[in-house]
Amino acid sequence: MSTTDNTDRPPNCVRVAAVGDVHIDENVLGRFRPALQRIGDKADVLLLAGDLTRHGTGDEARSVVTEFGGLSVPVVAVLGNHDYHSDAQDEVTKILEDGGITVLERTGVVIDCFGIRLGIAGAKGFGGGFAGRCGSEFGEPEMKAFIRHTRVISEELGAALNGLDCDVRVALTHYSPTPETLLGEPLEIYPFLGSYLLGEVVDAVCPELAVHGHAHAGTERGVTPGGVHVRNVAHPVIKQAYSVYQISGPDGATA
Amino acid sequence: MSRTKPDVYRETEVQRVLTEDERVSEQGIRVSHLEESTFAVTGEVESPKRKEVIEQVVAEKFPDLTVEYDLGVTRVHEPDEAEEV
Ligand SMILES: [Fe+2]
Ligand SMILES: [Fe+2]
Repeated sequence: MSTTDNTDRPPNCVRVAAVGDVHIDENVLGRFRPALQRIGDKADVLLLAGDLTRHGTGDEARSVVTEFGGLSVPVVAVLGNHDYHSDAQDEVTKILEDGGITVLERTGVVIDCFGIRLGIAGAKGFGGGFAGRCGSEFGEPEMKAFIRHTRVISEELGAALNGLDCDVRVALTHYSPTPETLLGEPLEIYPFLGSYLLGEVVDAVCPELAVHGHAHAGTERGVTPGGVHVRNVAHPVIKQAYSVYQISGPDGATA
Repeated sequence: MSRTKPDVYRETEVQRVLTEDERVSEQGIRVSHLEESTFAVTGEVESPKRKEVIEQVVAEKFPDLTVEYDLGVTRVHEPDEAEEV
């Protein structure tokens, strides 16, 4: 996978556009498209940080393809909780993939951005809370299953991040790996918005950037305990069609 | 002894309807208590139609409540500049 030619772009960097929580249904269709027509002038890749749809139906997934398919840059997505609501996540994934959108779930992809290899590992993630204030795999089966779901996703996301053969690394999730980008949300719901387990696997690999959504009332910028830059790109947080993060390439890279 | 339901339960009922009623399915809308039987519904939605649907569903399910709406449609303009990270 590689990006198209662009002569005006700054040298030796990758430009990552991202937005989450676009919650596309037939009434949202067409709203984002005008701002996406020239996205290749501003970015090398577009990340979609989950909650692409409202109810996770096949029809809504087809609307996502209409809105975000066929752009001048590669589009890489993870699903969010809304995309699971109709128990049709496999169908949603297939429709997105058939529409040219790469869907990651504990997997990775490497994109050649003008000579710099951008590696993206992605997963939906899940909740559980943050260090010192989190759930445990203990007690009722429901509670154990809840935290186990987060632990297994986190471990497999970590393996996917670690396995990327690339120059610049980005972690893409729907749920947050840090409480910092949740600022603005009620403290009481933090355990439903993210997990330190995601942060821990991100910090083990130290990607250049971690991108998530889900926290509609959160804050755009934060860091993990290990110092990785985190951006909450939920659409109501960034309040524009997408944000662009420019990451320097490795020293001495030619671009 | 019959008592009216405390407002805090009504507030939660509105919040859950906004999420669980399939016509709405919004998790990012905040419901807050203003005064007796009066609530504020605030937040951002993705289309003007969604604002309409929220007001219609809340009116249908909670005809006895007074609800003040402050719902905005999230802007979709191109970003002006990139952030270096
Ligand atoms: Fe969302
Ligand atoms: Fe979400």
